[in-house]
Amino acid sequence: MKRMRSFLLLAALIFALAGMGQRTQGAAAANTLPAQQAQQSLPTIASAVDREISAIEKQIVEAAEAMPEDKFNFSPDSLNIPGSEYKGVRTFAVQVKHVASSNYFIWSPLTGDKVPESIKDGNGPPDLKSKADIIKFLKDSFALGHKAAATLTAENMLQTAGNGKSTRLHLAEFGVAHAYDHYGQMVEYLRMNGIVPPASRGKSD
Amino acid sequence: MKRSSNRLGLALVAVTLLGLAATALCGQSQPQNEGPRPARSRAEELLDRWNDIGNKLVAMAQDFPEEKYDFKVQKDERTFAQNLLHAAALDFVLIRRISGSNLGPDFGEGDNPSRDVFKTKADVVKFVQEAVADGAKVIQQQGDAGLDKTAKFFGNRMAHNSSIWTFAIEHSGEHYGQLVVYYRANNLVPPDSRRP
Repeated sequence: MKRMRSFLLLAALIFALAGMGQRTQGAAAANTLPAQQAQQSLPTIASAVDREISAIEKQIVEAAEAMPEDKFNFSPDSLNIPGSEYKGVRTFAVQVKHVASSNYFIWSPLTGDKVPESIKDGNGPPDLKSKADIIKFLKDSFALGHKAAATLTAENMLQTAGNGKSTRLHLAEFGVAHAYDHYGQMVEYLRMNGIVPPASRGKSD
Repeated sequence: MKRSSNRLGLALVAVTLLGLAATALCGQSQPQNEGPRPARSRAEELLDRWNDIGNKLVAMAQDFPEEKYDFKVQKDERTFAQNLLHAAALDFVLIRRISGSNLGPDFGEGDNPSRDVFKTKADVVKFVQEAVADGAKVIQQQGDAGLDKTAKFFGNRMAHNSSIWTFAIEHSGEHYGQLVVYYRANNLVPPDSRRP
């Protein structure tokens, strides 16, 4: 009986403490609620970067799909524009493969994945020729990007990844920025072939 | 000897208890699994990216021959100068929303300033330089705290400043890529692509 009374007392004490904790949390939440309502709830760094990757992925995949297969090896050099010098610049296909290979090089330190052995340099696997294969390679590289974004936390984003000096956040964002640079070039290649880039259809930008 | 060893024992117990108390206090104020303290801030990271693409555009604006400023590769697109003006104007639109101030010169409505306002190469270069410098200033002034605040984005939708800055950087990157092709169309190598 004495042991039972002790148990009940202990249980009452635990409930009382738990209740206090909840009230404290509730008060804290109430205090911060107006501030939260004034601001939108913050996305996590992982979801913010993931959204950026999705945005450029959509634009660049659509741009690649918009180029007819028989023009995938187009280079402005073939246009012989008077006064131009495009010798040695990347073809459309190599632009796409370059973005994809760079994605692997830039984002793999975040995930710890090994860069596929087929990627010998920044221009991607030389034996990758068909439009379907190249677009698959591109999409796979963005899948790695999403995996890399998912590794980001508020705690680790400013830490370096692997043996490099760049922070995880820098690498994640650099992959996106680099892809936009080449997307801009692909836009020009499309227009040189009379194709309006899908993302620009119906607007001036 | 025995007394001194007792004292030593008590001292050790006291130090251990103090250590435990300190650890418990630290544990309360710091989330578990927190990594090493970052050497750089988010704002510093952002500033690097802002300056990187901004300075690439400035270098192009300074380097491209003035007589080719109205060149474009295809008929349905912006000229070299219009690309730069558009990128810088959009920067200003977004900087103004983030900062809540009217930074930069008057370039009219929208984000496609007329060449009538920016007639010379020097005018365009100055405009691009100001956009990069003003943006950098706001990023530095607002620091990390500013990145988590919200401002009006497109379609009057509110967005976090970190997302707005990132959009501006990416937008500049896209136009930089287009200008790379304009460069080569004129038998010129973009400044950033020149190898010693």
